[in-house]
Amino acid sequence: MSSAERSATEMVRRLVRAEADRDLDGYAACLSEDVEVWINGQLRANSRDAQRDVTAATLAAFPDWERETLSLIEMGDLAALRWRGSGTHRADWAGIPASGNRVDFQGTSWAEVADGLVTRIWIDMDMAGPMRQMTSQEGRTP
Amino acid sequence: MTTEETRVLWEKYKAADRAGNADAIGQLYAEDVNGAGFPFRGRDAFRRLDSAFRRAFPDYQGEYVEEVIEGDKVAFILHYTATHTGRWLGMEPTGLKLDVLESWVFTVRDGHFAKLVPVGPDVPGMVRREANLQLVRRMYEAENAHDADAYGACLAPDFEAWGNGQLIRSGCAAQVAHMRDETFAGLPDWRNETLSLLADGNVVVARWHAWGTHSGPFGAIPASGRRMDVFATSTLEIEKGLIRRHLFDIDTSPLRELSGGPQGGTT
Repeated sequence: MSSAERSATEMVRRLVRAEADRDLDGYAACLSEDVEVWINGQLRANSRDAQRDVTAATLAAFPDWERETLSLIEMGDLAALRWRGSGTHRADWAGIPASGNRVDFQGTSWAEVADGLVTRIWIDMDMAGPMRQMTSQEGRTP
Repeated sequence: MTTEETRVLWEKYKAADRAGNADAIGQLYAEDVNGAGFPFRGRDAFRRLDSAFRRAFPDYQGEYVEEVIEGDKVAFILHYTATHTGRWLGMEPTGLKLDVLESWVFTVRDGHFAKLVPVGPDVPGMVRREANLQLVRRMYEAENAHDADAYGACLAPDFEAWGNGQLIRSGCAAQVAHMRDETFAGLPDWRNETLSLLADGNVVVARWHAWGTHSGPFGAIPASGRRMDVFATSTLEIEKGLIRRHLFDIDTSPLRELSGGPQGGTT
């Protein structure tokens, strides 16, 4: 399959697999050079290198991060992945110092694909809940 | 069957098709005719299927672009256009204009077509997808018109709303009351803009941006005068033409800010 023929769902599966394998180069290889990543309506990264750094920081903050796919559907060049994930908060993330807490996330990530690369990602997810979990004094793991 | 006998039967079929005569087509099927992928069998069932299609797509125009007849088999490619203007397979008219290329192999036995094998796009699936997209568009139009009744008409009686993985509301009536008494009353200028919409099977996923001014009570939260601005994704599961489950992923930080709570922070 040539890169131009890769479907949106195929690219999302590659991203998820690369993340699970902690393969940052493989993850970055799925992205266009000028990829835009929007979280809850705000632009968070606007290049492949920037998004690679964001992903590296997230995996460093949650070294045991695991993501479960709840559904994945596509239409044309667009795919939507509904997911939930969790990890132990071991390093500073979003300005919050390591808490040792188990943190649960849930969201939907959209990927737009052109010429076999992901050109735009939109993530809609709750931040308030995970922030509470990260700052909670209860539920801390050793 | 000789090739010539099969050709005579096939010419009758094409003439009946051109005349739009589903009964005449039905007479050419074997009493126990079956079709690959069809959940039924028998002449009457296929005749009803043809009739229902012609009623739902009255401007159907078919053209046989290729045909091969050999022994007891007819293989052909049919190109057709048709507009979905009548109820079909439980789906209300969508106005969808079909432009379809499909292949079929018919097998003849004892002077009738006994086996039908289609290869082509999933036309019922295409129509269902369009019907589901239209249903979701109607729901958002009703939301933007602040028309709680029209909004409720899009929901199944046993509707469920799930926010960030938690069941937050059960029943169409409860959801309608929430929209009318909390969203529309608390945020009178509430507006929802759909940013992306896609559908697959009985699922529609919508990415949206909504905003409004908190100038009335929103549930237990008294008016703050603040503007609420949210981005979210809704996954809508559809059953029997109505929205059965609405699963949305949304940042609840803006809602907490309305009540004067701490901000959720950013990534």
